[in-house]
Amino acid sequence: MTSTPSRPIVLSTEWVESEHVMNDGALVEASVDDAELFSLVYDRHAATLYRFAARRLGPELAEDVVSETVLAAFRIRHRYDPARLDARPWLLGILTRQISRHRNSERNRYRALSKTSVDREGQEGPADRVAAQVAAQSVRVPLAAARTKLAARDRDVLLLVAWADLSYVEVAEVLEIPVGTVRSRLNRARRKVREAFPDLHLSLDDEDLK
Amino acid sequence: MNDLDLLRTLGSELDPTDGVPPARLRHRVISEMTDSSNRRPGGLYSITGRVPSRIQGGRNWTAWGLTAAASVAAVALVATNVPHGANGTESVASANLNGSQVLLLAAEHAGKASTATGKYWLSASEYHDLELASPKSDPYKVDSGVLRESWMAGSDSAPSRFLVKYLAMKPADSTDQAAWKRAGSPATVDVQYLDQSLKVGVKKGVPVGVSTTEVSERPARDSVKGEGAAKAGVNFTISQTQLTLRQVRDLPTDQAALRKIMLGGYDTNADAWTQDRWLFSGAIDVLTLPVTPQVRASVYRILAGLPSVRNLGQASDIKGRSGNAVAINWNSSEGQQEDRLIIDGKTGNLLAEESRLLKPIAKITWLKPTDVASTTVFTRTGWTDDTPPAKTSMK
Repeated sequence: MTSTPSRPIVLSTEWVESEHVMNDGALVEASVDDAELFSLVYDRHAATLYRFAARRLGPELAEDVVSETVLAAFRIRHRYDPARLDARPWLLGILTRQISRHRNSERNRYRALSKTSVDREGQEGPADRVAAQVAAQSVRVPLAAARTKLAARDRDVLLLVAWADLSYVEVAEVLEIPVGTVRSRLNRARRKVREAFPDLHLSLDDEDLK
Repeated sequence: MNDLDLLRTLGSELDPTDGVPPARLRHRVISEMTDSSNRRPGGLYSITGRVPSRIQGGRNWTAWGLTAAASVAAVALVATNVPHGANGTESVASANLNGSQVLLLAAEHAGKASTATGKYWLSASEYHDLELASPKSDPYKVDSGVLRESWMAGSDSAPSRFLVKYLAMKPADSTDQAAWKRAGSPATVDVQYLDQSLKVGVKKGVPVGVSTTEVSERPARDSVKGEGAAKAGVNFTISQTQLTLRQVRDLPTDQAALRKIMLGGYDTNADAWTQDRWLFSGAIDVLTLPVTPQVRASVYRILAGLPSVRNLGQASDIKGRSGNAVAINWNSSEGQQEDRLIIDGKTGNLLAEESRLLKPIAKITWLKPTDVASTTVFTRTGWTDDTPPAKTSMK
């Protein structure tokens, strides 16, 4: 026994094939009724979320938190404002909260990393990048120490800038805090990192704001 | 270099596999969203604000494809044929999928199964069918069953064991039980059967309530020398092709190649079997063998592509285990037949296969469309390190 749909069918094959031109806001909105569309939200943002989570927590835990993040987002998708054309800040905000539930794992991970060197095959790049990597390996011990001295909130801001490539404005959107707060937390965090490596003479120039 | 550059460098060093998320993560996320959707109308798990009215009715979802392209295709299917469900129970949700979507969902789950192995591949099943007792006066249905356990060796150094237990024959349901009592609760009955050439025969004096067990053994591949060695490890069958464990593990995941294997023997079969029905049967074989999860998923996709397969919604097997049922209708030598597969909605495992006769031929009109004429329930399928049953002496 079938009954007629309660709203007109608007999905045509043409629409479906050109889904890439639909912004996140419209996609999430459409997914409220057509749940399966949310899988496209996953497809668009999984790489960003996974990479960020894996840097902070390692690859196995990253799978868990990305999964928790997407599922949490899915459950509250009816509250997403369709005027927000990019869902990345929304998802990163949820992800940051999920990561903060694993503080011990994160701390242990940095400690463990500081004791080993990470081998990456096929590492190529400009000379200064190579030099930076060599320097990075030798600085990991103090870096781990510096990180634990950072307040969690400062660390979240720092890593969203350094590891998720967000601008101040984007970080403010992700964490739902004023831009001024982002700036002060970032400055404090960066100062602590510089203090941890007095020998490197890390420059003080400001990053270009996006 | 500034401190952020330093961190960026460190960050990129920490990327696993260039930061590409593994395929299993996608499977997992989509599966969890699917389960979440199924549990509540509109896919909402906890609602902290006012629920927008458009989702209150409970929107049923469709199978989520494995690739973005497939999920896009599934959406296109949704656009044309999904009705609006009245309530959010699981049975309604799965009833609104078509047969392909149920099977693609099974493929999704099956593809995630673990690839661990063990000492034996155990395929335990129980077969039941109905026969007519006391055909000449006050006839009633009896159920006879056979319990089978195939313990197929995972290595060449262990034997394989095959247990067959003929279950006690008994009246099929309460009406049949009453008829048997009326007949004086006899210890033996005459049972009518249909032979290979569709002639009615009668077995006289079949005992009621007696069961016998026998366990046979196929020796370890290592222990067989000479001519027999080639046949010793060939423990597995798909359609009419016999395979070793190595060949089972190496089955192609490509659907066309797999289909060809599943169609083995079809061309020379003399029965009324359609190609789709043959594939249905081949699929059951594959699904109970130690194939890789990807092969298992491919089999479900092959079934999903059969035009004569349709979704029946939730159903329970004779053991009361519930799952998604898909069916194929065909004309067999016994009449218009409906055969079902019941698939575990969570794992994609095959729970049971069942046959019903919607319109039996004249000789077996005692079988009603609601009777399960025959069924096999798959009770345990998987690798195990348990000890197999001991060999019984042949009498």
